[in-house]
Amino acid sequence: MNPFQYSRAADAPQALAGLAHQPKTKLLGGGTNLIDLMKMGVETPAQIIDITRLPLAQVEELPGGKGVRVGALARNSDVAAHALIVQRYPVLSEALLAGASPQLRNMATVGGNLLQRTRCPYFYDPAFSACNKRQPGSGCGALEGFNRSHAILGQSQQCIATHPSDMCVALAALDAVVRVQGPNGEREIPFADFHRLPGDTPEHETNLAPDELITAVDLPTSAWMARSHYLKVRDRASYAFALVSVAAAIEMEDGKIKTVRIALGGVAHKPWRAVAAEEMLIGKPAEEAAFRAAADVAVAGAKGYQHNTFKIELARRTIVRALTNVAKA
Amino acid sequence: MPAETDLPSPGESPDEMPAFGDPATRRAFVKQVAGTGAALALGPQILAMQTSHAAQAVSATASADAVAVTLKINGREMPLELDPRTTLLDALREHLGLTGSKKGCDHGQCGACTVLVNGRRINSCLSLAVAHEGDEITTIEGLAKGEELHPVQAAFLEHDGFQCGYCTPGQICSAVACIAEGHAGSDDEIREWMSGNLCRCGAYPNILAAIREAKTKTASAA
Amino acid sequence: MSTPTISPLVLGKPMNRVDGRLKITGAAKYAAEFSPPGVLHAFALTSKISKGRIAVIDTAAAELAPGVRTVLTHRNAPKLDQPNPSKNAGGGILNEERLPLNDDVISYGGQYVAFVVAQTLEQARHAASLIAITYEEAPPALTSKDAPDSGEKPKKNNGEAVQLKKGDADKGLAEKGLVVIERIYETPTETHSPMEPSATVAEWESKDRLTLHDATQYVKGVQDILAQTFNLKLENVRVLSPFVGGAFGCKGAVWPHLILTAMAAKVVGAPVKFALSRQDMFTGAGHRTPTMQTIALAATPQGELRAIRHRTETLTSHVGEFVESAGARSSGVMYACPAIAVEETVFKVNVATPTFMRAPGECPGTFALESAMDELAVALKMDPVALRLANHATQHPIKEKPWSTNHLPDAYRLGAEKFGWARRTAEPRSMQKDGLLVGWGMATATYPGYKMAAVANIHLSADGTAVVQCAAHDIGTGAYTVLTQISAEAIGLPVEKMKFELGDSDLPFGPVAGGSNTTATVGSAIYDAADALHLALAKLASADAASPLHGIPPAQIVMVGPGQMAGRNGPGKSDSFAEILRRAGKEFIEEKGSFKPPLVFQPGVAFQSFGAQFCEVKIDPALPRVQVTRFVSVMDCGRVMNAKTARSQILGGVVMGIGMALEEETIYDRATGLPATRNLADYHVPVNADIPEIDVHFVGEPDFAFNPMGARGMGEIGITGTAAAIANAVFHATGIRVRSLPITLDKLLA
Repeated sequence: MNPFQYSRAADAPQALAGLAHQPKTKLLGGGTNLIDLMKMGVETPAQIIDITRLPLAQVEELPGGKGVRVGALARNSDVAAHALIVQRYPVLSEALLAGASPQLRNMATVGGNLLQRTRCPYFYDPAFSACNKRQPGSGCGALEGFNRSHAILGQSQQCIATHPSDMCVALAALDAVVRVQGPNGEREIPFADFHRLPGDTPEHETNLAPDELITAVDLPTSAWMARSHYLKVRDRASYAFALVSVAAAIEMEDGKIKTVRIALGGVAHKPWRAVAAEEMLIGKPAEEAAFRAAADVAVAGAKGYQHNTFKIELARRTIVRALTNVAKA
Repeated sequence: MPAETDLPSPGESPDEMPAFGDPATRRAFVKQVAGTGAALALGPQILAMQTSHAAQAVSATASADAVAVTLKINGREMPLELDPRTTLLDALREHLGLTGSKKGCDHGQCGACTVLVNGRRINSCLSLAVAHEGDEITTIEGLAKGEELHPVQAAFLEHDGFQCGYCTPGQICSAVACIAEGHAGSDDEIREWMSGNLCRCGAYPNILAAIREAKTKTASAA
Repeated sequence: MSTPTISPLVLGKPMNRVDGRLKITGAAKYAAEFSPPGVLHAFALTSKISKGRIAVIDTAAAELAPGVRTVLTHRNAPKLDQPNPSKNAGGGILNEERLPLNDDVISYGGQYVAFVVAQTLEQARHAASLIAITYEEAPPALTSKDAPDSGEKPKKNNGEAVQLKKGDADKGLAEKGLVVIERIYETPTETHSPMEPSATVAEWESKDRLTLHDATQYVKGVQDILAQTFNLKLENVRVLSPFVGGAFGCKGAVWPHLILTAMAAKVVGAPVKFALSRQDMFTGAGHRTPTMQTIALAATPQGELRAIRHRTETLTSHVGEFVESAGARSSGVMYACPAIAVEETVFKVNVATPTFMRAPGECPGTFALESAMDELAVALKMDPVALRLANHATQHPIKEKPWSTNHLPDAYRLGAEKFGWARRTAEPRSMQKDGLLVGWGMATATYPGYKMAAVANIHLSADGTAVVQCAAHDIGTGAYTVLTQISAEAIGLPVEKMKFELGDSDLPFGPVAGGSNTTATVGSAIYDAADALHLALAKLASADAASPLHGIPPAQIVMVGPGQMAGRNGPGKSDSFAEILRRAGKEFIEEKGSFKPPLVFQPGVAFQSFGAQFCEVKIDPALPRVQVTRFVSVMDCGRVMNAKTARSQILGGVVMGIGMALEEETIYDRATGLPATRNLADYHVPVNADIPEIDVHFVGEPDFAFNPMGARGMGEIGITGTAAAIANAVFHATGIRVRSLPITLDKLLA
């Protein structure tokens, strides 16, 4: 861990001023990802601004039935247990509880989880010199290396890493909006636009500007959101990253699917919305045959590597199971 | 490993130690009366005396860029000058002599460093100490009331909920929180909510039994 | 040697651990928790390549970094003496024989290339990141296929034959009318991953006296190797290890970090603390070699084995030897069979040296053999338990000596009864429930009875308390507790009056905590010391006119109950330890005893523990992660010394076996040879939610031919057979035979 200046921000403007003043600044929330990566030498900030005391930890209803606002510093465990979330957005509660451990969920914040970095070993361990994400232009060690946890959708020759967050998969399904504050005031980023695919610049993982602070995530209100579900498939019963996960929601009308959401985790550089699969399910009965057809569409463009080709079939089955579960709910 | 060996004979008497290393770095070796002592002698009659060796040696030296911070640990204010890089875990272990909290992985992947901060369990290895000014921190050393064990500690002892003991302080802190959170309702719930604490010795069934019993006792005490 | 003359005071009782209170209050101190005044902290930089040499190493920036006291590399590290592990009897173990920072050659990824000492850990870690190294890199060999010409067939491993031949297995396999199967089974690299990373605190008290706090399974071994390396008198090296946070074999040898830490402390003239990072634990403290095992079995249609051929390929490094005798330690002991052939080939690769990991040999060996036996049972359409009973070995199949005791058939029967095996339907996929596939499988467990050498010292005080000492170890096994119980039993004192000291090289010789030998070895020495103590007391009493036992020949005076001596033949007069000492004007009496193989209590027998493992798995057919839902483990390990800690030992073995079966694999990156899974998020060990209730039972009788307690070890047998029982249950559930561990869900997606 390199030496850094530590300070505690009393309010958001102080944090923003710090970001503007020193480009090599990292904001400290729960620290579960940042401190981990600093110990590995992957993150080397010159300045740490502790924002944990900012008043951004509320989970509250927005006026006018516009939904729920989750503060960027709300802890994962608090969000998962909050009655508004449990009742209206079960997929989010389930996703949060499927992630990490009780201890880590007590630390990790919503904002930090949005910025969680990949678990690709070639990124995480600087002993591997080839990682375009950590060192642009150095190559991708995973392409020909150990790639069991890696992407099957949306990857590039530069990077096949996956996004490790469970929470973000649920937020992708829920059409969430990320609220950010910068030197020029506030702006909103639709969830689908928040994370990026790797393309030629895998080092740029989100569309958050370096001088911006995440303040909240807004969850819109729709009736179907209460009928949602998160299914995570992993190598052990708990405390493991997803091989494949699915956030799913279904709204029925007259025996036909009116609204459906399918978001995948563990398969891409960002939480992956299976939009084409969703579209083809509209108007169909909630039956296994339709789910299977949709799952085939969801993985239609998937490409596997030496150790992760199984994820294509696993993703297919996980989609079918998640939709089946939510249809029964 | 050698299956059968002979009894050892005392080593041959060696000659004088030859010149060793770069003369420039060779120093006079000062004989120190270190706190290393003899191996711990163990027996039931002396165990009651062996409680916390807290606040023993303040060994690590603060760096030039040290930050002043006061940590409130087990009800006591502990003023410290710390390199901001110091994690809460290293502050406890290396600066305060509170070595009950363990370093198993240093990356939030094992739970051995679990402590309670404002009543909530966290991984102290992924938390900077300087960020905890004003927090109420409880470590394994703060659970027993004098000689009286916390019910979770007593249940771990009775159910043999540990072997090597290295994950144990983290397991116990985690279990205390697990019960307080209301996540000890069934065996499967305990298993899931204790899965952030690895035990390589494999004491899990006994840890489960201990928490099951401690939960009952905690409930009847409340 | 006496056999117990009184009904057990404490042996066998489910006593709580005597060191338990220290552990549950956080007061037990492990190696890295000792901080001598002025202690400095070290961080190691490790090689990014696996084969080649260091061309340029630039440490200038690191040396100037704040707090740094020294940066050791191959260029400036002091040259040390090459230790010879076999120089001294009962000497230490070196798996990596090359001394650290000895030259510029890189033999494996993760090799230490620089050692930074600074005032704080953060300063040392940061300074290490400032070291720039240019390597001359060559493509590494990582598997036997990469280095086919390096294969060797070792004759012996730790004094035991590795290549076995009984009868003509090739001929047996070719016999007409037999059912023959031949399969390849693979186990991956597994890493011990104790919760406490290895750690050493080294302090030079003077230029010729070294004290080490070290996480070790072998204080006397560390003392021996360090004394040789630094050319010190043996007694001038003191090694303390009162608590060890798990080991499972990875803390038995002297690994390079120990020598590095002592070297660095010498160079800087201050105590140095080095705890391996979790990453270092995947390259710096050994691992279990991967195995590829080809097993051929031939049996009559009635299920009588006629031939077993077990060929194993394993790996070792270029800088040390290690042999994992998978065949000899499974097929070489398990079944009655007229023809047995075991071959072992070891290849050299650019990976760190493997070492002992819980049941080395038996563990991968029983996975292969017991999977093959299940496949044979399927081929024969025979019940797996019935097949094993039909081939039960009534004597050691290779040594052809009778067993000291063997109650394996009882273990099969009791296990089957407790598990409800009779309700099993043989057909795969035939036992589905609630939409899940249910599979029941079983396998045999085995581990030898081992004894090494030990000396025990008893210090009996006139106040009726006693201290017993031996440089043994408690790595979580319960040795503190069990040896306290044995001492109380042997001496004849209430357990509350006993204390046992271990984990200090200043104490009388104790063996490595390996081979599940501690109870048998140290317990034997304690009994010998107790005999000497009793004789000394008898002599005092016999000679003392005031004693009720005056005039009775000392040899006729024995311990008859807690703290009491009496004539062997009555008539009812007795004297107490305390009175004898008081009248003799002694505050205490001290006697030593020892145990030294090959002393045996009954010649011509073979000592081997056996057991039966039964398990149930449930598998979602669509998302086929395997969940173990029930486990029954029945063991014949002789007499149980402590019902509570014994059960825990078996539980722990089974849990590690579940990890081996389903989760554990250290994967090396093809290009660099570095482990790509060197942390506990990627190297999965079981979590609480992976583990069901585990039902442990013991069968059998005390093995008094083995030692005066009648106990064989329990530390390792629990893991043996576990992976096979699970793999067999997975086959029963799914119809898919997975012959390559771990059984991750991708292998069941078909």
